[in-house]
Amino acid sequence: MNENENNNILLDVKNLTTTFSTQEGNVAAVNDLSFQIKAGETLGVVGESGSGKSQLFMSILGLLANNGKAEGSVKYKGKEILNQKKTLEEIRGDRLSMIFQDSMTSLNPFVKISDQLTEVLMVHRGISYNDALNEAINMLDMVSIPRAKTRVHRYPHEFSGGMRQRVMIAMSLICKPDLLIADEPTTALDVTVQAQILDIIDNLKKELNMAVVMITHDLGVVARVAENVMVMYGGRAIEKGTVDEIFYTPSHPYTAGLLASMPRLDDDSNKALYTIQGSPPNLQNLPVGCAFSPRCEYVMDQCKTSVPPLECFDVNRHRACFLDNYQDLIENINRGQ
Amino acid sequence: MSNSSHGLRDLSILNIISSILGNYFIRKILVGLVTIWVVITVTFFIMRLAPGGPFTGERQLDPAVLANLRHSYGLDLPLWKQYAMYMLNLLHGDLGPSLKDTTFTVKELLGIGLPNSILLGLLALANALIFGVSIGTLAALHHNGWQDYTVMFIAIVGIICPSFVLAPLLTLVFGVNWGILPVAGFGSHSPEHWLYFFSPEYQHGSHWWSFMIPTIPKESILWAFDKHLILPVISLSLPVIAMLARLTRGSMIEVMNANYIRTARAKGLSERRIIVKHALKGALLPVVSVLGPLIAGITTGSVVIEKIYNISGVGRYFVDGALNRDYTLVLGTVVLYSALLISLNTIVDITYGYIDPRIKK
Repeated sequence: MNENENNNILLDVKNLTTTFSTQEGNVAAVNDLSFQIKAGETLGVVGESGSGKSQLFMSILGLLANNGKAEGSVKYKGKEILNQKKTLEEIRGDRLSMIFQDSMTSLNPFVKISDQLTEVLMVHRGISYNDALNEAINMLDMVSIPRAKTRVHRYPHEFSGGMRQRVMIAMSLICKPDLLIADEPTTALDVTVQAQILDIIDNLKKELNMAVVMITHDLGVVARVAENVMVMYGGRAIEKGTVDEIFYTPSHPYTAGLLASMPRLDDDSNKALYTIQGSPPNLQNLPVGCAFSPRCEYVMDQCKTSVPPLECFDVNRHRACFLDNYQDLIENINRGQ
Repeated sequence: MSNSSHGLRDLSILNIISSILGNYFIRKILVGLVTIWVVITVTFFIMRLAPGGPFTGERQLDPAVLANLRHSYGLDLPLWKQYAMYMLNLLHGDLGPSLKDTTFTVKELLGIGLPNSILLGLLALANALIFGVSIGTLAALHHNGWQDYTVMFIAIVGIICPSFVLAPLLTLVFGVNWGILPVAGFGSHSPEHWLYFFSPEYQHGSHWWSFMIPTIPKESILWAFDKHLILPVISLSLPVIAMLARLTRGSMIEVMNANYIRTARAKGLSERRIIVKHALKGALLPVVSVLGPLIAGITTGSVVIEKIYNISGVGRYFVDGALNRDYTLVLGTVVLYSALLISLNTIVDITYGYIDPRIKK
């Protein structure tokens, strides 16, 4: 059984640390983070801006800016890929794909959609332009671009924002990857288009049986698409679990705070929305202990001196917090208001 | 389509006129023609405002002779009449006689000078584009590396050192001190020289524009490799190389940080393919948009360079014409220059639309 599970593991990240050297000193974007992604799994990665969620996956794919440095180990199907330029070039866009949040600027404005789509296949599969073009049109059909046959020869500026994001999705899925990393794919889009995009990703995921990582700060999106959730804060994972567990019984004060600060449709009271006090940590100068301790309502002396490790406390549930009594975090917040 | 009211509406004259005026290119050409007319008019009157005239010299001419001369060139007529006559002749392609160099008409002089100027300008432009863009790209791809610092150092020197300073320096070093390159005299060696092939007598037919389309004989291929051209081309192009290198470097750095380059990386393309297929086009856009002013710069720059290296080009005729108050010669060069620059600018505009699909309508 154990072996079977190991075979099932697509991406195995161990002790990944990413630092950026800036003029003001080193900035730690990801701190000693470990996690795994299984084949076919949908993982939601949640965290506020600057929690390191995007940089984590940029590090994995080797897409960091020039001043960024990633250390640790990332294994794709048992093969080390972290900082392996040649290997990464082969599997990026083929086995591991990524889509980004800025759909308006992520497509090259000077190159026809057809060329941008076909080159992925031509580079990774070595097939002819005509075959690649047919496949590209199929993919555009799949992401519901109307009249794909003629549209494919257009330039990006002739597409709307939502259509461009769909083109991005088609482009990242054209090689039928094992894992799609979607970095806030719906942030810049309006709500109806957002729903369409999420539907498309959902359908394609089933059709292609691929794993999906959904990086977002929108808990609604996570609730909708993810099976498992990883909550990040200050470059560390602070809580992991299934989406139901995280949403109904959060085990970390930060997660509970996040959930409590979501507006609810079924709440008629005119109470002010809950907010987590303080502001996100400065990554250049993280607190000595738990990164969340300066904002935590349950802060203890222990939290200020040592970093709580991410520990498994239930079947596949992990938390990094010294607080023992986490059962009714949500109730406490609600009662407090 | 051919029947009923549709056809009638399409054929109405107003529609045709408005659709012609609505055409981007035709509008460009009309604006260009008006610009040329304004330039000629302004030049015409400014030249007349300048003190002295074509027949003022160190030796005072006999008043009767002067009056005769002025009469024979029509300079005694009222100014507006002279202007009207000049414009009328211009419409027929007649640029008039040179007031100073009486053995040639202005057209003939330009016919001699233009190929020299064009060759000098084209070589300098090609030089500047090839070296400017490539070292700019090199610097950008090694951003903050030693290659970057070297290129930028040279570029700054090139920018602060204008061609009229550079040219005498190059002349001193290569021509005088080392004596390896000729310092002057391109295009004016012997009467049997290739220039003959461009003279109006050699060309069959004598349309007014015949000097513009020289039939290049085989012998003149060597012409482009004349070593008399080496120093002029370097002096003319070095500041432009510096400018282009800085421009290319800046836009290349910007483009390499663009989101769509990150996308290209995420697709697993090789670095080479990313640069050639995805980055270069966007990075060269600013270069294309400065091509117009750049060509203007090279053309006006060549006025100085031609004078320094004693090249019989249009630029030298322009300077000499202005100094000698050779009204027709100056006007002739102005007509030529403005027509050249305006048409080149139009070409640049069209190229721009071709590279950036968002501009093309």
